[in-house]
Amino acid sequence: MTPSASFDFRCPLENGLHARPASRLVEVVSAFRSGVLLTNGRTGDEADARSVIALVALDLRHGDRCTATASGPDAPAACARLRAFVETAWPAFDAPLPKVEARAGDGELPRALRGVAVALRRGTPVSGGIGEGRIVHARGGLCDPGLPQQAPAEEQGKVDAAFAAVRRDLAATIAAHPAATEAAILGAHLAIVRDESLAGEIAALVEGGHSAGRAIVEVCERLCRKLRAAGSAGIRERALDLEDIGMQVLEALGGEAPRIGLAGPSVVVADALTPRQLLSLERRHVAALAIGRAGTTSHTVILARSLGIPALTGVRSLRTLPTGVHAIVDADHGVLLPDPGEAVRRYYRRAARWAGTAPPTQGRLPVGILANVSTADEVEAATAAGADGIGLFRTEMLFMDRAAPPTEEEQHAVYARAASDARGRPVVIRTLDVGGDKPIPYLNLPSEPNPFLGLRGVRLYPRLRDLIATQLRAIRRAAAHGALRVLAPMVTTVEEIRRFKSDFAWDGALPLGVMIEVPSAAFQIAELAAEVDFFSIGTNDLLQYFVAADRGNPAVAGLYTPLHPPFLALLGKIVDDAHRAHRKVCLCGEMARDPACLPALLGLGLDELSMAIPDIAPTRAALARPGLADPRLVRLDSDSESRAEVIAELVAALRAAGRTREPRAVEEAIWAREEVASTAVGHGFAIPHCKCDALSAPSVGVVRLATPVAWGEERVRCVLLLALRGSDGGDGHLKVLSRLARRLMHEEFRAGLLRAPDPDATVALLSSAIDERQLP
Amino acid sequence: MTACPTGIAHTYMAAEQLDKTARALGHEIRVETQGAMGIENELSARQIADAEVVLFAVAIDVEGRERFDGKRIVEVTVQQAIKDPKAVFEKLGR
Repeated sequence: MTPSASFDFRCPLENGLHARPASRLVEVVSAFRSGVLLTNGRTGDEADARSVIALVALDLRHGDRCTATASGPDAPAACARLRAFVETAWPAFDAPLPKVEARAGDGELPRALRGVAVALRRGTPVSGGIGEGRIVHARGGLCDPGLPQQAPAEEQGKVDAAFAAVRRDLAATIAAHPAATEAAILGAHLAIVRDESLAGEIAALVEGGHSAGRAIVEVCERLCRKLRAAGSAGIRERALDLEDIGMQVLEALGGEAPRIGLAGPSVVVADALTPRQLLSLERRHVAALAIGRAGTTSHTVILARSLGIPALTGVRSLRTLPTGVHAIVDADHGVLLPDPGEAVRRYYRRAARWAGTAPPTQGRLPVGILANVSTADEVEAATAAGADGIGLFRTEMLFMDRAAPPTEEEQHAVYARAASDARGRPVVIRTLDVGGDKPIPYLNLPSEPNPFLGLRGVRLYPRLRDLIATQLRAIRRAAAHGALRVLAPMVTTVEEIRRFKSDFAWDGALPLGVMIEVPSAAFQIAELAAEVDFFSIGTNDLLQYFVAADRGNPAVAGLYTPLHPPFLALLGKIVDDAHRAHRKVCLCGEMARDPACLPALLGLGLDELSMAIPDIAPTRAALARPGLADPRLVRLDSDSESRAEVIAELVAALRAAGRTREPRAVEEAIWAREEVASTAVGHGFAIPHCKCDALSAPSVGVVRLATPVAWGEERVRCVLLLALRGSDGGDGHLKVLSRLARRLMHEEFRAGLLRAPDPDATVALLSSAIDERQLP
Repeated sequence: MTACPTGIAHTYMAAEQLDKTARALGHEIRVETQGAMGIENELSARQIADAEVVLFAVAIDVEGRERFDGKRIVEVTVQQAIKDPKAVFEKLGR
């Protein structure tokens, strides 16, 4: 007789038995040969403790009585181990996942719309802006791809291969996202893919004559129904996970995911969206993105930002949004508004009028402003934003999300397009920069305990010789279309770059540079300069290696400070040594976009700064020291109907002129002042004002109204916004603004503002009143 | 003296209105502003001693209030000073 053992317990999990604690339980049970059955004392249902899905479907809630029965050769040992686990370690796996940090006020409607009844979904704004279009779901749901059916053995082979592919993908993604949250979620997904009961049910259907596709669809749908019937909302949501896994397996089964056609402006919604899927969409029709899960899609987010596509992540229950419904995504405020009413549409139509109306700040700057991109699609957007070239073309994305490396022809097409879209401006292409943390399965990279200090960048090139040789051939050929340069990543010693040049028969036809991101390289600039033509400092990694602090770890975030004097000294040494050898230095990394770091970077003498596309216009605007008054900030025949609309219009103008990247912060600062007391000052004038560090330059904006609007107790015809930065105290701007305020008390000045025929005349009037020559 | 919460605009508009109106009415006036630029046109002990009346158009706590101990003080709002400075001076005369 088979030995058996059992014990009773009460469910210690506050949130009930959901996927994460279930997958841990499966791990414990799998170490034994005995089978284990869990019986829910409340419902009488039983579940195989080796199946995550069965365990979750058991609908075990906090405090439920439960019996575990082990039967098999090692039943007593399994029971003892399981009991110890359930009573001590198990509750720890129930801890709620940390929430994505949302900024204060995220998910709140714009001021002008508060009080309007609207249905909305909240999300975390990850790429700012406003988009309007019809809802399109990027994935179709569980759907049999309808492939030609073969004998059951062949069909089962297809099922196994598809599951194996999804397992590999998930494992690689988990390795790339060590952050606890994503790993825990994906780990639960992985447990579903490994689930034996799921595989067993599918195999049974295939054996019975179903095609691979049909069997997967039927089993997933059946299990989803079961999960949806569960008591707790958390478990009902797991049906979405299972459905998602099912879709991934079906996709692996059918090869290419079906291309999504967009008929017109579209709000694309998806639980997850890969960069490849985003790029496959027709760009001009993608008005906005709403993505369910963040984290797993960070490359997509970076790409969306770069292409200027407004995007939200962490939006719940996207699947319930009906396809084809008109929707607005406001990724400044973090809301998705399906089927908005007329008031909402009017507000956003007006906001849209300002977007993109201002040309980038022109003129010579003390430093070159370049763009960081990951695809050729972004190059045109970069030059339109005012980039002087591409300072960093990361090529990793070309190699990701695929089963084999891109061919020379494929790469050539990408680099040639980047070169020609840059219209003569330089494009620095960084050769493949991967390590154990970036999952590219076909490279078969060794898994390392500490990939950031392991084989990455050029250290891997001796193992990837053919691959890099192909990439360099593609770049060299594409150089016929523009000014391409090559950048070698993660160089630590001079020998490495010498080896690079000899291994790949470098002929010096293109300029070659090295990325300075390892501190030791910073002390060999003179020697490196003898081998290469330029330098690019990767401050994200350089700083992290310099202070031995992970920039993603909040516990040591205090150490990761780019303005720390020793780090500035290091940067200064790199620049000085490079200039002594007549080599230019570019800085790419988060530091380049940080307004607080700009003065230091200029002082250090950097030749170029390279940054994400959305940061280019504000940085140019900040460097150009633009005048307070600017015709781009003047609107003389506004149809705004309320104080909120006027303020929204002024803020939109500041944004369009590149004077702020955080319009909402500016708007809130203006309102904070309005709430102390209305800024209407009589004679039909109002002067809202604020001090806000979200501005890149102190600014004066003007809105003249076609019809007077209510402003507190008064009605006003002309509104002057005075917007300062908190740091503007000492430099004379305050004096200028106080002079403007005084001038407003004079009748002839007010009459002039009301009469000015065009924005240039308004600016002339403002300028004479404030006389900017008095600035230091 | 004029002073408003952010000290960017109303402090100076009130000062301008009081200055302009006082001169139009034939009064002599000195206006100290306490705004984002700090204290400007700070009133000297002599000017305070010579003044017939001290006018406060302030919306915040100001520095150096004790300098005016013993003087006749009239308080108005910053808004009153900006919107109807004539009425403010009428109040002084009473």
